[in-house]
Amino acid sequence: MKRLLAAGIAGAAFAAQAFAAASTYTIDPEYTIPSFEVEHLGFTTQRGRFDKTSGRIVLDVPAKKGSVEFTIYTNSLDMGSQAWTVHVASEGLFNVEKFPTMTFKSDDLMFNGDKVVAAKGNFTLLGVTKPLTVKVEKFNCGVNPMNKKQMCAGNVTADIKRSDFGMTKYIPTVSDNIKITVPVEAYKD
Amino acid sequence: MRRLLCVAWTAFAVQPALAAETYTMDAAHCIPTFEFTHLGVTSQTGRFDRAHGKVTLDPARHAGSVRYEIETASLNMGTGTETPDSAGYRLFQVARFPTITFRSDDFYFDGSDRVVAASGSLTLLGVTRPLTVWVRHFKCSVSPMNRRQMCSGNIDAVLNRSEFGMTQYIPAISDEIRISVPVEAYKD
Repeated sequence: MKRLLAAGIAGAAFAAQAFAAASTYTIDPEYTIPSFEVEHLGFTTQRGRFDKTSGRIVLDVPAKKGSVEFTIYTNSLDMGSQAWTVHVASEGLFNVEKFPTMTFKSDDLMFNGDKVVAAKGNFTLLGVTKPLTVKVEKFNCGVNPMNKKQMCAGNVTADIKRSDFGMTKYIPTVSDNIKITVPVEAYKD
Repeated sequence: MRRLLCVAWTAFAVQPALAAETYTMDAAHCIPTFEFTHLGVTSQTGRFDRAHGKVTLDPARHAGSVRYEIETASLNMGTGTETPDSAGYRLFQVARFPTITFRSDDFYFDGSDRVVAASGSLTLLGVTRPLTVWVRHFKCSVSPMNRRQMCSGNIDAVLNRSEFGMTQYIPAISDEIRISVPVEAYKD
């Protein structure tokens, strides 16, 4: 019993230490704007964008641990033309009135040395949650020379099949595959 | 002899004009995006929401031309902060240079009469420089949506903005800019 308690204390100490070493970063929404690509009629690659996001990242690089919570506000959809935005925001596609957010959550970051290279987590779109692993490229932490603040940044990409989330309208005229790109810039709290 | 030559020349000149077809770009589906590297790390994307263009095509003769115009005041970075004083408007000098124009009358075709590149000139900040753009997935067919004859493709180009005199914020905002334009154009 004593040993168990001791183990419990040791466990708590370890957890506290890991917590102390971890830093929290808040994403800069001005430089963390997700865009997505679809194939239109099998002809062209058309792009859309969500202009409003929020998110937090916890990083403990020495322990190669971390987590991320990222929210996309669907009513910030911006296709470049008003008519097209309204169309893509409507029921059957992003259905933004019923589903105001899309989220990605992960507490399983993959490292290569001290660089994050991927994050394994869950993506929620149209209220449907599915596992998703996103790729992280050019991950880097340092001081932003413009504002002298500590920043971590990288380019995040993922491919999803929208039909997995129940978004089946206009397949295959508008491709089932969606390529998502999110440049992420996050500042240490 | 002179008259004969003249007639022959005229006939020759008229023929491609007859065979060439003119296409007008669908403004909702030819929205240009550009990508730059921010602080050497992230790929940030900007967009111009208004652009228009015309293409002439004569695949049999491997000839064609394009004129494509972007309205700089339609700059949209996604942050909702575009005003006459914003960094974007100042970089593109929107008030002074309302358009960015690409012109080409030199199309490259592959063996299957598909356009693969276009060599021409880009005018940005009033500076005109040669630019060759790549054309991927070029295709002409009937659009299943509206049954109209359409030609389309994805256009890519890379340029150094400093060559056009746009040097502010280099290197925090990269000199190299990558441009993508999906083009869907309907036969007039």
